[in-house]
Amino acid sequence: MTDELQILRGWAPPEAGPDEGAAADRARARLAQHMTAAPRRAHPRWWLLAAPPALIAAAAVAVALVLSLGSGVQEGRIAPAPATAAQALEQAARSAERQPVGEVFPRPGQFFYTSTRATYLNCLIRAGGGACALSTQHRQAWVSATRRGQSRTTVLGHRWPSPRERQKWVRLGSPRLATMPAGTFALAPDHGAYLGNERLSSTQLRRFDQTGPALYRRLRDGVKHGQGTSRSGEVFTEIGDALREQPAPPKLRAALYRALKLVPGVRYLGRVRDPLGRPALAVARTEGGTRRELLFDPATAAMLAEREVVVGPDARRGFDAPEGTVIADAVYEQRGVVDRIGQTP
Amino acid sequence: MLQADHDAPAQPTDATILAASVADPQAFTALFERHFARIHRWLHRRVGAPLAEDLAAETFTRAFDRRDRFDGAYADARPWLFGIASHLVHDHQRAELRRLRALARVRRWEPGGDDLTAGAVARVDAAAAGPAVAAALAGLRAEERDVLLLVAWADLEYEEVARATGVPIGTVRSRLHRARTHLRAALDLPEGTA
Repeated sequence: MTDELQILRGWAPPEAGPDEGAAADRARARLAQHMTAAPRRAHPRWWLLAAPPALIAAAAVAVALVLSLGSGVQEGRIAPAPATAAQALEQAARSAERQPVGEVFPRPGQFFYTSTRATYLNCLIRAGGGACALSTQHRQAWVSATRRGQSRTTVLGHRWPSPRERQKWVRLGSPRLATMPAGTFALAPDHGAYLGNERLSSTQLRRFDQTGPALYRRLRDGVKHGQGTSRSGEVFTEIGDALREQPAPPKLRAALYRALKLVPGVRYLGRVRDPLGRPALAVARTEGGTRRELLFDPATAAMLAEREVVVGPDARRGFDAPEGTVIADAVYEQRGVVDRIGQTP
Repeated sequence: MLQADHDAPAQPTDATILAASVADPQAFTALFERHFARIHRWLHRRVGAPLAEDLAAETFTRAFDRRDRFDGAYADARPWLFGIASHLVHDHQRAELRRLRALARVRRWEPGGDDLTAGAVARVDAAAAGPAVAAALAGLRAEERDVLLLVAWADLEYEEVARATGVPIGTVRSRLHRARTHLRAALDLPEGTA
């Protein structure tokens, strides 16, 4: 007896079969064109890069980063000092609301400028295997919704997270490490930004008018099964995505900080200085043996820096790093609205 | 997979390719070459040509845009890709239903099919039942059709269907059960154990 699943597997409509070779050729060309035209993310979401098990076989070395937690910075603009993550994030939300929209969100024809120095896990794949390095790059980008933009990327160098990773690279024939291409590149007009899994147009971003709790529910409900190591962890990541290098008007930025207040597990680390010496408030969330830290300016609510630090073992991580190892970091040197390519805020 | 024993050459997993493609976008083409044919074939059975080609191409451009959102804890990207493809089919549900209803009216249906694992008898049965199957598929709720066709045509396991569709595995089981019951009734088959 044939059951319904077998019948379904044998079901073939009286139509011409797929022309796989030609379809693949056309799709390949379309993908290549898309890859060339697609605006590049300024830097990867490094904690996802670090996630594949067995990707990194040995211990990572500590990355030098100047971050003095609890250093008692004198910051005259801030009063009173927050005592909890909720207070710190509410302070950021209010600062975000006070920002003039024209300073943080470009009008049609204007550019959103970012200048970033980032170190991330950079994995190289060849037929015989792979190896991972820590790569540092500097990138400036001018992105516009209506005009062609530009990016200028400089690769500052590579380090090896462990001698074993370097050995793997040597066994592969010491190939050149891929990075985001260095040099100056034109960027296609970018009409929107990501909010979780949604892609919002510039108009939708400009008209954004949700509260923090509503945005939190929107992001939480939008997380797809399998994304992130947990639903809360993914929401934390998505809020970071929306704050770091995408233009966001004041209402959206305020809602993002208020949504962050509601993410379970977010802790306040205190007043700190970022790697450029700028006073900042720091919050963090720990999951899977690493702590992800976000540093933001209490006066402007701009995200200043972030990093990921190993704080404990995690079988899924696939590599062995001592506590305190910084496995990724980024410093957002400048961001803002400008009128032309080459101009900085 | 990159393994601890790096003396043994091994193919990189999908997760590794996707991780590498964040910094090196060209690496993504390896994922395309590995999975395009499978995704295209599945879409072709669901929506026919030429929409299948368009949606298959779109599946990979969307996957490229979201490549930094793939959870590296999973080595295999097939459920993720089929999830994107299913989502695209939803956007063209009217076209899918139009085609299924048209197929339900086809009188002459020759045995065929590219799934040889179905066996010759099943393919003959499928040809005889062809229009009824099309009508039954058109009568399913979209979520039930997704689960059924991910199991039957994409050969995904329940857990993989859960990842593809973003619902708990229990929901996958219940949707599959309803879909199979509906299909069995439409084909006038005896009660089974699905």
